[in-house]
Amino acid sequence: MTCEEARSLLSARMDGELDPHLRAEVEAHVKTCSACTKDAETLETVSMAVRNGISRSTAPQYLRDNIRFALRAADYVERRQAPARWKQWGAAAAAAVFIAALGMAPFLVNARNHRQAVAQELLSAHERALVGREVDVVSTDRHTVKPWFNGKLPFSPPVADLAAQGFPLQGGRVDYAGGRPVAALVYRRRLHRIDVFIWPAGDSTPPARFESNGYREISWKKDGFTFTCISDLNAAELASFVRLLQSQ
Amino acid sequence: MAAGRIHDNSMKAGWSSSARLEAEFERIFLPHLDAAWNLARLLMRNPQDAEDAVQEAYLKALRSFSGFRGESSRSWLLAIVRNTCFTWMRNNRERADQAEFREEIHAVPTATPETQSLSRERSDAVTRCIDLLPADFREAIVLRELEQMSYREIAGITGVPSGTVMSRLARARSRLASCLKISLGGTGGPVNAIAEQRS
Repeated sequence: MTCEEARSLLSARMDGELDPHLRAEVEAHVKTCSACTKDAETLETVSMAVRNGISRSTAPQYLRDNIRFALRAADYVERRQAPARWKQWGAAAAAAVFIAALGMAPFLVNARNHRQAVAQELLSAHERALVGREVDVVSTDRHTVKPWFNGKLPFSPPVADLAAQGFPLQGGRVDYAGGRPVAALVYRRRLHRIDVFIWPAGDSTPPARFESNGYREISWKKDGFTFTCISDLNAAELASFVRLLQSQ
Repeated sequence: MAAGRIHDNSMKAGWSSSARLEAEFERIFLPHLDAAWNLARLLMRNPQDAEDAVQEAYLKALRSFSGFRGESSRSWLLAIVRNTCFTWMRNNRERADQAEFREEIHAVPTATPETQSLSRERSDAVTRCIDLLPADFREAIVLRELEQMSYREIAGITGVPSGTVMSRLARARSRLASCLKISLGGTGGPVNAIAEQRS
């Protein structure tokens, strides 16, 4: 075996990845070649330096939480579960439901259109603010934002600061959607802005989920208010943000 | 069903019915989160991108969960993680290339503040040198040195023959040696520090 051949195999030799026959040949060469012996030592040093230098780091806890939450919220689940439920029902029951659904279709479509319209209006408000004023009251803490809404709105929206969880509150503004004034809270995640619209729960409720132009909208009701958050943030982090707000 | 498209306030709706599937998925794959994170972190060279990639990879993994046949779960997940990372890097080539050649952030520092410990300095040098490797060398090094995987496992994850894994590791190590200035009759710098540590 030539020096060159042996040298190309030293790395695999160190990893114990040579087959016995080849290994024997390499060993025999290294024993008689001081240059290859030295190269083999160099490789060991490099390997050890790398192992010591890139010690395994633990994934951040919030990443673990985000993933756990995202897995539960994944659209996939809804899609996958739907056919399973259908199978459990008898064909007759399924047909009956189908016919009933046909009868209700005009009403549902109408309600759906209305709710989509509200969602679209909120999205416009979000986009407007992207190019114009983002906030009317600047803040890094809820104690300056919450009182600011007094007298500007006929209700007092709940305001949470999530800076500790990585979603600092930037401020608030009054916006209009669905023909009524709504409170808009502005949060930030890295370079992404998240608007949270809050108004007293009523008939103008956007769909729980809505997507358009790369923006995601998630809506829910809690404590007599409707909440809609809108952002271009990725689905996983937005879901995690929603969970934080819902648990306030 | 039109109504089915409007998910009424029900992020929770799917939860209970699919709880078993998710619990199973989490039980199998969450223990590999640190491995996924380390691979993504070293491939992407930027923690924010790594976080995004890992999250995306887990969602992809959940979607393909039905294709999982009980083989090595770590390898199965890491293959998805690296594919996600490579797709991202391909789509952001411009940015990645800039990082590749921005020497000032990768330059080995000449002077060190006394407050910085020697081991920290050494570890920074190793990270910088790994950052300078091409992506397919980086992943081979991470899977071998950090995950201690066999060539066969690495070949399975990266989708290349074992022989390619072998030559990538050999070339990566030789580049690392010269970057870390560990060589025959080494000349100062981090060299001696590391060599001393060995003896």
